[in-house]
Amino acid sequence: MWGECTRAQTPIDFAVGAGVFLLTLAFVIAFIPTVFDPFTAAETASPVVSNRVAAGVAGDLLASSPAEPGVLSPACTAAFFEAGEGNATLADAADCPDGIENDTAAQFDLDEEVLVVIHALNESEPIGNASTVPIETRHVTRNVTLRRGPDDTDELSDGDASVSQRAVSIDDDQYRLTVWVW
Amino acid sequence: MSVTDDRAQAHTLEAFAAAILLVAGLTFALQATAVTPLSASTSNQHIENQQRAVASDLLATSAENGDLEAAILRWNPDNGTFAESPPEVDGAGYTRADGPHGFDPALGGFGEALNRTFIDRQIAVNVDLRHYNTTDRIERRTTALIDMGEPSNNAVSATRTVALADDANLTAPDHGESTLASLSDGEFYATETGTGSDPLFAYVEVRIVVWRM
Repeated sequence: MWGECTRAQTPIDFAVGAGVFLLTLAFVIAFIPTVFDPFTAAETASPVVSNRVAAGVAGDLLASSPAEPGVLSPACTAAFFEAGEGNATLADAADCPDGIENDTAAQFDLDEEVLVVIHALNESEPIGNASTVPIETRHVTRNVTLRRGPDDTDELSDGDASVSQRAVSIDDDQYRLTVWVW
Repeated sequence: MSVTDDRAQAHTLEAFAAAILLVAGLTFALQATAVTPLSASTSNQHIENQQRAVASDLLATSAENGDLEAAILRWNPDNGTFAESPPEVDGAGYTRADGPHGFDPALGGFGEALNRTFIDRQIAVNVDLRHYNTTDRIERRTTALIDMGEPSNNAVSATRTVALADDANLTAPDHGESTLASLSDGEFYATETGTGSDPLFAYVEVRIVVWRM
């Protein structure tokens, strides 16, 4: 009479067992890609690239002296940012470093887009709020908007950019220089 | 027949054993990957590099426009503290940057630059001044200009040396007429290291330590 009927709950047991196992397997398989996330190369430029551009711009291209990185030469700053694409005549007159009027990305051998903005130290939305500074050059005082780079910054809002910053001063006023590379 | 078929719930137990093996394997793999963005640190090397660069540049630009020297000369020789530093502070310097103006009124342009660069972004700052305390340059002393507490493990620092001249005026209110040379020994935190007619009073090394609050 005991016969085959003595096994208890076998179908339920099997269902629960298989369920637990499959759930765990699914979790593990879903989790594995995140383990490798830190090691997959990001689509954006490496942070080192924007840092190199920031150091080059604040320390070499615009600095009044290599011994004082961050203290910018007003004339070279105007030459760099003028009209958003550099001003060769002004750069020559002020004896600025070679290549200041070149495209920023080309100057640093980059294929990416580069945006350079000088803005107030505490500006939290720097992209659209570049400082406009009156800069005296030999002939005339001009208002220069301290922003250089592509006008279309839609891709930046996706967050896939490498960002670096420096503190700089122009005519004794302090600003923050931010570089985006994407 | 009836003996071998008396099993119950064995599948569930097996499944739990298998699940534990899988999860243990995953945990082991996680431990094997050394430092990831998910590790304990909230900050990473790039952010620290940026903070160091900004701190270093801030010292350079503040030294260039004179704010830095004005801040470290804001010494009140009567009570041996920095002028207008909070009285409840144990020590000479400023501790906090609260209120709408932060360091501004007490520290002038340098304080304002610190506020706008760091405090507004929830970054804490310590500023220490290192100098010789004796003429024969044996002993180094540290005077705190700003002390916001104990830096975290992710703190970075930057330094800059400022030369103070004999005829530099204090910038504390009511003491603007005193030059460093006119103060008697011990009235200023640093001791004169220049000798005789040497116009140098002392070198002061300004060290700024920043970390995320």
